[in-house]
Amino acid sequence: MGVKMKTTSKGEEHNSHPKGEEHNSHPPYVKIYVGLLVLTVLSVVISAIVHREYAPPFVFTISTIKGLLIALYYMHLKYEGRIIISLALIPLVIFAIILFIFMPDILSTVKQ
Amino acid sequence: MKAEGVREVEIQEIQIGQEYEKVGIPFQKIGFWIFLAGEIVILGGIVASVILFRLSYPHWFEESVHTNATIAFINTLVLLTGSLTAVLSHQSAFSYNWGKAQLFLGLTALCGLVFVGLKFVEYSREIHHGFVPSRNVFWMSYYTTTGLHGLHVLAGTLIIFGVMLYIKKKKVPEAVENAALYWHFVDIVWLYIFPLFYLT
Repeated sequence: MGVKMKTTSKGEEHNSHPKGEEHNSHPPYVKIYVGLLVLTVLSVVISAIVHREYAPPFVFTISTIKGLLIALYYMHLKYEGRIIISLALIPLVIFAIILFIFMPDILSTVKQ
Repeated sequence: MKAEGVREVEIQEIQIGQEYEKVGIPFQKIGFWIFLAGEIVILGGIVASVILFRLSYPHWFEESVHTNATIAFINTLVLLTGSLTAVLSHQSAFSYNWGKAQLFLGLTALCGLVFVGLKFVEYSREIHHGFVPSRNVFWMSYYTTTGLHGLHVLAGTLIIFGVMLYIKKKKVPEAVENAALYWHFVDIVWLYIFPLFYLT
């Protein structure tokens, strides 16, 4: 194809590594993994201490932190340009809008 | 002399190359993220619906105590381990260390198989105890969400296995990158499913 690609010293094509990320300076993947494990254990401990009815705000906050760690470092969104970040964010914005449109109706139903 | 058709194809290829230069991102990467955006809408929409059910259904936590949190916890660790091996395979592929890339892809596929196997055990036990989808809204949501997610894990496992075989013949780091991205996405979805059905 006519798509221009960078050629390495080994003569192999290479064209999509995240900007700013060098081969020899990767994020600390193993440390992030340990952090993810600790947060998972923390969410289980919280759900055991706090009654299940009141646990959602705590455990979903932890899930969001874990999700952000994976998205930013494992999926390399921290190093991506605006186009890729937009592609990841637009469906999340749509998802949030839908959630907030129905939220008042759902909450009023619960009160009844 | 080149035929007219061949020359037209060459001109088109040059134009694609010029467009790539303008955007600065390979088209395959944009294409894959558009695919992932669609997946976010599908699985995100389902998870959003279940969150709304969770808020409107007062007996949710009375039902969620019957799910097997131990198996789900192990499965969470399995998926997170798979994410680590997936990102290490990505790193290895872009460092042109193809042996390591294949090894880590194999470990990721193994994590996928363990997840699906444990999910099968979990479903068998729940159905045996009478917790079937027709029981109530909670179990209907549970089977729909975890079932669809489980199918995505299975698909991810097959894709990773396929890429593992593919890079034996063709050294394409982008193939490893896309397979790893898909795995991470499926992992993030599980991070919300786990508390929704097992912890709250």
